[in-house]
Amino acid sequence: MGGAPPNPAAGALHERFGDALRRTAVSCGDTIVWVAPDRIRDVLTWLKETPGQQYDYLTDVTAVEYRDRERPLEVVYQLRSLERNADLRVKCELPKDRPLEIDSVTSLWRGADWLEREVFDMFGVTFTGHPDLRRLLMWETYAEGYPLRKDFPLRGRFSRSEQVRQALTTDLAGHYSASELTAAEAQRVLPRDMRKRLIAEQDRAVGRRTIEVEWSEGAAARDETSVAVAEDASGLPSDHMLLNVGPQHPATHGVLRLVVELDGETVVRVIPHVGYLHSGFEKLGEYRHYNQIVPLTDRTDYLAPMANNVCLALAAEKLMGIEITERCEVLRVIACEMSRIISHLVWLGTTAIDLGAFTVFLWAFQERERIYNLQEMWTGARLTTSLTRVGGLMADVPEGFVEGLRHFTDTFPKTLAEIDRMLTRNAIWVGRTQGVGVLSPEDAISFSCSGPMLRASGVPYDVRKDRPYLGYETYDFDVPIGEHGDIYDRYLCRFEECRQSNRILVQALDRLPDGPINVDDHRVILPPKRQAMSDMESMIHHFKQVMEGVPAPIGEAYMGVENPKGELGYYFVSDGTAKPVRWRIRPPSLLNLASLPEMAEGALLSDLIAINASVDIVMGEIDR
Amino acid sequence: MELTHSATRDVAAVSPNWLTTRLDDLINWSRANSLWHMPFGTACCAIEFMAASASRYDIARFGMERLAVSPRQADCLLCAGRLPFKLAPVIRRIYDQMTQPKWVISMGACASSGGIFDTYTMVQGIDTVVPVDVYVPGCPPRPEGLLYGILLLQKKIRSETIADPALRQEHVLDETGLRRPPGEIDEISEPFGNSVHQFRSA
Repeated sequence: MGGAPPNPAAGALHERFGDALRRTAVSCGDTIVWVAPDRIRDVLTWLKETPGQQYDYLTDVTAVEYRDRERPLEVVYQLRSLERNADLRVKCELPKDRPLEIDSVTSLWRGADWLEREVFDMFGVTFTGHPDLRRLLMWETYAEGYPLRKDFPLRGRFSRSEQVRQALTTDLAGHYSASELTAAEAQRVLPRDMRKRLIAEQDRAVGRRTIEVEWSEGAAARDETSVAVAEDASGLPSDHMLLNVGPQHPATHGVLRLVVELDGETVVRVIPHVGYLHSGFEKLGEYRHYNQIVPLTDRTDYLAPMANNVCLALAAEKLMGIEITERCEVLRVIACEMSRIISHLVWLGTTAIDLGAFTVFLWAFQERERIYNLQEMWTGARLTTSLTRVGGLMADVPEGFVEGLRHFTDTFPKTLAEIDRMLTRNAIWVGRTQGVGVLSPEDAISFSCSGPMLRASGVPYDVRKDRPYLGYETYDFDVPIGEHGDIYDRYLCRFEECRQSNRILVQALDRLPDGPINVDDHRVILPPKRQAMSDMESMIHHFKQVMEGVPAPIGEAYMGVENPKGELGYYFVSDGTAKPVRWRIRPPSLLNLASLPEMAEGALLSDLIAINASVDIVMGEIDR
Repeated sequence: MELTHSATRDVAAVSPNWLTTRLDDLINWSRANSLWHMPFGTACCAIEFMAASASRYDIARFGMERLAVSPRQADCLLCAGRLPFKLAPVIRRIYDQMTQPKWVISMGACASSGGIFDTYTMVQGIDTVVPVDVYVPGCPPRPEGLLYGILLLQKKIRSETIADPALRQEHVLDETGLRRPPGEIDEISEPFGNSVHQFRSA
């Protein structure tokens, strides 16, 4: 640790809070302050609201447990001031011999809701004051424990057959658990049998966390008689209706599940349920070398695999302090922008299908196939590219690639213009999207939205512009900013981003320099096979890298890049070995999706589908 | 022993004769060429499935552009992508809701074997949850691979006969709540190859 001077906020915090600020450190250029857990809410409130600090954007909340059993568990808050473009990482240490408890910050940022639920789900940290603390990714009756704790085995505590048995014998309706349908108004509108079941479930859940609070109104209605009374009191069945959308539904873009309360056709409440595709990426990453994590990143946001690869390499390089070559930098820009185009094309195609326009899907996929061909040419795979390595790339671009991409950049605008003609002024498209699903800039920031979701609401923040990486500051491109924050603006933003990506691709191709793609350091990059077979030293490097991996120095690094969905952040914590202690993915779609209820409540059911589509989610990344 | 004997005799009584084979031909021809898919797309494979249904690969050439997103109208459950335990009861219910005749394609390494996800959350092969007819290997399989898998399924359908009632039997879960005996599931799910090991700080 060391290097850059700490963020002045650390000094200001010390002045204001004295001993509550336990210590300060700088790692890989990021300032970290450790704060007493009981003061966390005061500290974060002060940081958010004091002029001159204005850390108004909560980038991430997560936790870290170290391999050393004695070390306390850390809860990590990544803060950002959009105004001043500054970052601060606040940490709280929770000793393991006491109950893991910390104050919730959901009252400061609405985006903290799901993030804290995830930390509770994965680490068992209780956030006091959280309005609805229950598991986010695993199902609520999950009995094996907290998966990201170090004493939790990678393959789970139970045998495989027991896991399958428990999964299959769960009452599927049990997924509609008491805490999910807690709101008092839902209780009144439920059919009698369902209400009975919920009350039985609630009894089982008594003593658990917030459920009692949530159920306070219905708490009297525990026994059979009071159920009857409650039913009589409500009189005739209300016209509210509960509708389950997903997890297997063509318009949820994956295995998202929405529980919707409808009044006629108007959405009164919508509760998104995620975790149906939880695959344990973060846990798996702790068992792998940095380079071995690259194939995992392909499969998180599988609509933009190459951009994920690049983000991972950048994060590991930041941690290890590696400078990549010039050619590698430009090639990575090409990879990122190709990914942006194909990801936005999937979004465009599927959203158009959801709104009834099938042709766009076919056109978009036609263009995608052309990029897939190029991707395949470069990496050998259409989708699971695993393009980058720490310190370089898996391979240089082959002969014919540059010409192929040039042909694409020449002809792609034509297709875009066709789609533009088809949609932008199309009465149905405009009618379905304008003024629907509006998200105000304040809400977008409060929900920690990023990417086109944030920009469509009028907040001009693009990681490529505001904290450039890969030399993005040297490219000439514009960042489209919306005005109204509705679906139509999101469409326009993404559409324009396709055009701008094309512009960046053209510039990158023009400047593509010759030279090596990998750093000249065989402690990091594998020596060529021929050399490894003939030269002793190279063979040792080869052997050590394959068997032991590349060790990273003790420290931690957060690297955020502008992915098609928003700001993708990889946060590595290293204890000096070749495998990270913690690999945290800051999933842009998860945070964007958290704002869905805010946008959809009060809209029509058909608009809910459009709004959900406009968020541009990818479940692989949301559930990880 | 006696049971087997009587079963054989029953089948022998109806099959195969001129009438059933002609009927088989007709029925299988129509079934094989109008498969309606229930696309159970969960992850990356679903994107390749979309590519297969889009213009270049054009799944409609084989009579299956009609996606039946309601299981009750579907013939073929196409599980494209990984299946976590949280999703296992969902696919089981969808399978149970489908009417006979029904087939299952397991697309991709994760659906077939858990793939690279040998973790606490992943079903190690959907065949521990529902019976599978065709496995399509690959991570993800190319659209051509998926189309080949579908052609294989068509081939399988063409060789079926109405004289064999066992083909249309429902495979229900047994009293333990499992489709296969626990020992078998544990054996299938054993780590293999260079699968990750469970060390605290490995």
